[in-house]
Amino acid sequence: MRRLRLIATAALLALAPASAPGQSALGPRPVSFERYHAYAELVAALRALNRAYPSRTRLRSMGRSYEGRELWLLTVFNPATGKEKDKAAIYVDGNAHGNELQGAEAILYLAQHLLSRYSESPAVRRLVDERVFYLAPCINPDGREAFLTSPNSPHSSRRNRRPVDDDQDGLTDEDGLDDIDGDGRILLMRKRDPLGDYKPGADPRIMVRCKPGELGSYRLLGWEGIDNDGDGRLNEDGPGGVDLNRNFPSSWRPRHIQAGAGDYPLSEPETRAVASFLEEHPNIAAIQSFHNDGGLILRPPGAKSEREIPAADRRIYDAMGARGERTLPGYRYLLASRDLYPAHGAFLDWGYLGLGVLSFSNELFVMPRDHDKDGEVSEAERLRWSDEMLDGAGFQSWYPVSHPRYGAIELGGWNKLARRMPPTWLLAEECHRNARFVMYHASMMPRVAVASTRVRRAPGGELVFRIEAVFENRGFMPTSTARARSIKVAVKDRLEIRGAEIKVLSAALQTDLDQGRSELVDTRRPERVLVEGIPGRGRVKATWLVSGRGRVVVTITSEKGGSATEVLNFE
Amino acid sequence: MARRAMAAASVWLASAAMAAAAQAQTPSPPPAVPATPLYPAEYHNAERLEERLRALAAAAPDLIRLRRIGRSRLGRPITAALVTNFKVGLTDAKPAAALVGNLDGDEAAAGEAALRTLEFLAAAYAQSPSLQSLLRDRALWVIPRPNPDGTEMLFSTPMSSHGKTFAPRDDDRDGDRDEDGPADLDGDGYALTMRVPSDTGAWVADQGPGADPDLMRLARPGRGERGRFRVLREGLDDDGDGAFNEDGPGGAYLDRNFPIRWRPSHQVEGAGRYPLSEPESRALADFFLGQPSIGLVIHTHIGARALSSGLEEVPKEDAPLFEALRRQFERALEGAEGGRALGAFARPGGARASGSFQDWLYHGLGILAFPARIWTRPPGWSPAEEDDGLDDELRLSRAWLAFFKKQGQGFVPWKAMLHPTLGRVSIGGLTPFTVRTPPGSLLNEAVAPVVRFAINALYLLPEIELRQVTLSALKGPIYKLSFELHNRGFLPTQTARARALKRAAPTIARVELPANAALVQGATRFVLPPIAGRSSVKRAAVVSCAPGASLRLTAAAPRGGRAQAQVTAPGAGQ
Repeated sequence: MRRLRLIATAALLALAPASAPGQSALGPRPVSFERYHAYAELVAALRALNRAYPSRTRLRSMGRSYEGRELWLLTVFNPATGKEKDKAAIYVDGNAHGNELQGAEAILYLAQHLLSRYSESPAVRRLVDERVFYLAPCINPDGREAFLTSPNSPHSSRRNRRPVDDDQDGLTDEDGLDDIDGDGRILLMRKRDPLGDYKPGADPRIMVRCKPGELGSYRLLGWEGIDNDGDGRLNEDGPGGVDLNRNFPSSWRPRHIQAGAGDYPLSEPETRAVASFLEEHPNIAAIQSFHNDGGLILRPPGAKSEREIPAADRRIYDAMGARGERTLPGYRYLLASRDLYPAHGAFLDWGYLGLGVLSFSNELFVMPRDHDKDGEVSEAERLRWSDEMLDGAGFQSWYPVSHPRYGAIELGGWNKLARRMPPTWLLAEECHRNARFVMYHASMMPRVAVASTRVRRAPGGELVFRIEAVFENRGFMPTSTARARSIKVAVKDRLEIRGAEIKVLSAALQTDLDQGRSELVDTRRPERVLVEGIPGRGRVKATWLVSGRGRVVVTITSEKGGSATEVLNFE
Repeated sequence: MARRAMAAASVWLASAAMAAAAQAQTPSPPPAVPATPLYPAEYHNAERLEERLRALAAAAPDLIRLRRIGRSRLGRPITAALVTNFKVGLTDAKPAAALVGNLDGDEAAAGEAALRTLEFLAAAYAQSPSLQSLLRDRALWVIPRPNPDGTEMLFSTPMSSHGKTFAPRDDDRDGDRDEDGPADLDGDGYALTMRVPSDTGAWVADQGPGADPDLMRLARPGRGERGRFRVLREGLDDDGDGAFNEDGPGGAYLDRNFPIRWRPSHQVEGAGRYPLSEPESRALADFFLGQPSIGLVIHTHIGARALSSGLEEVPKEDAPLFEALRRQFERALEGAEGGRALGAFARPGGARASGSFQDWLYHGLGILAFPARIWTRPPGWSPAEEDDGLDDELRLSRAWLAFFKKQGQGFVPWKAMLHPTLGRVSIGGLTPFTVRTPPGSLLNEAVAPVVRFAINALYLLPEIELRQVTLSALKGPIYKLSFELHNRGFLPTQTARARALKRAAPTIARVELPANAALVQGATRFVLPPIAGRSSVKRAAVVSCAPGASLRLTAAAPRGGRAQAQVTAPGAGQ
């Protein structure tokens, strides 16, 4: 019976055959979302997208994981409308925790969505033409592979695979989980004991802790395993590793303070590859990283030791968070360190606090609804979901086995694919909604343009002209965040004028076109005017006094807002 | 970098109109080549240092071996030398100390101190029984120059002081990197200091009793002084933004680039983009993480700047260890000029460092790290006893200037010039690197304390031995096996800090039972706690032994070496 149920679970959750990749009325859609992809399938899917859309994708590796797997990154953009580095980009990665599979699926989905709908949807086309999407579906491929191919609980195989001596006994990874009954799963262990401090609850599958004075009937022994190193502790030094989402530089703390921190920030090949990629691509103006679960849209800071972020940035975050809650029903927009739990060295903080880029970290998937509306999804509500929607296959009821050390015990609990990620029949929707949130975020990025230009003869001068150019940021986000300016990493926007037959005599800048005055820029290089960022939907005006004639090029170059040029001719 | 500065200078020289104007107003000094290089033979540039290390290793292959632990950003090798008797024992398991040379580019003398230590050991080893016995079971790692790129500026023309690594950086955030740095405008081989007469400047030529007007210092408005000058580094406004030398060669101070208590660049100048962002600091970090046998690190510094956070968080068990090191360094300094035995930690209320190498070693890894600070003040000078209203810093600045003037080097008299955009300025002052670089003639004397200290420190290392290994009969073939693992060194096998950090790799003792013996109760593998200096831990197990069975015990302490012993059950024939 148990075996039957197991097979049913597997069929339901993971092993549904991939539907035939095919053409649709839209563009080609080589990737199906009716199953979770093993690492090799993930790579194959990226290659298939790259093959199907060679003119709008580039596939490259950011580096290799600890075990040597490539960290693939697919760039989706349109080279015909401008160079990659001249456009604002959004970077999205997933699966930093090996067990959090759906992040990778959602990013694959986003790639396919952008590519296959390009010709049909003007909104998608605009995004792909004007922006760059850096998509890294899985930055912990070792953890993902281990999670899928070996016995695991829903929560294990989170870290990377660098061996670490967690219990300080001189051995590494010697006491991990053990699949006692060889069924490919890691469940919880309980043992009947009249002195036990747990008892079955109203739903007998749920174990409830006894209050003082109350008699229990079970002891909980922890996750399925054996004390392999005989030190009296169970599963305290399993495979791996470093928690990649605790290994980034901002507010990093060593491991006696932050579990999984690694020896130093960016000590891991995976985190280092991501950080190098971000540093080599200063055009990145937005970041998201996909985790699971709980349905959360998290904003920084993630570390308690960090101060609240500047109000100007918070306004943008709040607006985007509100939109996210609509796009993602059941999701909540939260401040990570206050509303979830504080963590040091998270990628979220490196993106925003370290680089000054507006970053979100999203926890994908809310399993069941909160039926009694008490604000919490209780274990009973989860079980109800498993019973009503999964034929009870999410949760394995307790069953007896014989443990080599503990004797007669029982195993039970959530199957690894059921607890923290959507079943495959919900996967496409989960992916779609998260993809839409990324696209919304991307649409908010800064984008500079030359709004208008005007040439007038300057009073008094022979062949002296006054050239006025209004530059605008058409995006909703500023060309540099308040954070980037306060930590002095924001490169100023450059307004330039060039011409073979002109000499630029002086320059003036007006940053507030309604009330502000045009201020003379005191510089020996008036052909270049520097601006400390242009607000979202904002304008600045440069006025140059120029002698000469002919063809003149006016340019704005913004590190994170792209660049724009206008050519004038005057005599 | 030198090339760029030259280019900047030649742009200026090529400006014909400016040159004509200069001739009209001031007698233009003939472009001069530095008379003699300040630091000729006594200091080694990267190439000569590597040659010297290779020669030392080649001459004594059983005593000194080299390992390249990384490369600088400009590709120069970072070399570590291991000194021990390679013919005896397991090299990697011997208790070891490390001597680290100059983290800062402008502290070349620290690298020379490390090199002199190697040279001394190479020369003295053959004749010295005490050195032979010291290096039989212990080892010394020497890393002379973790920042070869910065140091190389000492040997470049024009010479421009650079303590950091080289990593291009857009300091003024205008989209260009390193486009506006100091330059040698008058062709004398140095990027010096420019003073510009200005009624709104904050600086004055030193005045008052004991003053030297060649010294530029901040005006003290509280005492009725008015600023007369702006003081800039010699150079042009290369990028035309109105600021001078505001985006010179970028980089990070290695000693502000380590992960513990690191603070970012917008708070701490030269902190780097993130902890260990520099290949040089990362090479050091990976080296120390990969060498668990190193229990003590001596890092050499020139001058007295802040190197650590405070003493407050040092566990009380560890505090005496630092004090013992300080006392030993004090002895090593005896008779040497220009040094003071400062403690390892910032004094209460004193300046504190962030992201320092020392804090990472001790607060990050739990390794004892002690700074050997030399050349903290000019020879023969001591702070005044009476309060004459001057701060120590000013008194020290005057003393340095007087010292270098007496030496006849290191100071270039102020010289009027016409600057292309600033007009009349004068250029002069202390030459780059000067204060942190003892003159060649005094170098050996200045670094001698480090050599003495590093060698003497080896005597302090932990060293384990197995003692009191006994089999006592309980009944018939059943015996109680007991042993003591003793640390006969002064330092513990792990610091209290390492334990708090959960980084104390354990000391492991094992009992190897032959086929005719078996464990009855207890264990055959013991994970032991840290062992303090000159103390022991005891353990026991109950075993059954056939007559004559021979039990082997082994012990390994990551920082205290290895030990073994054997014990035999009474035999039938005995």
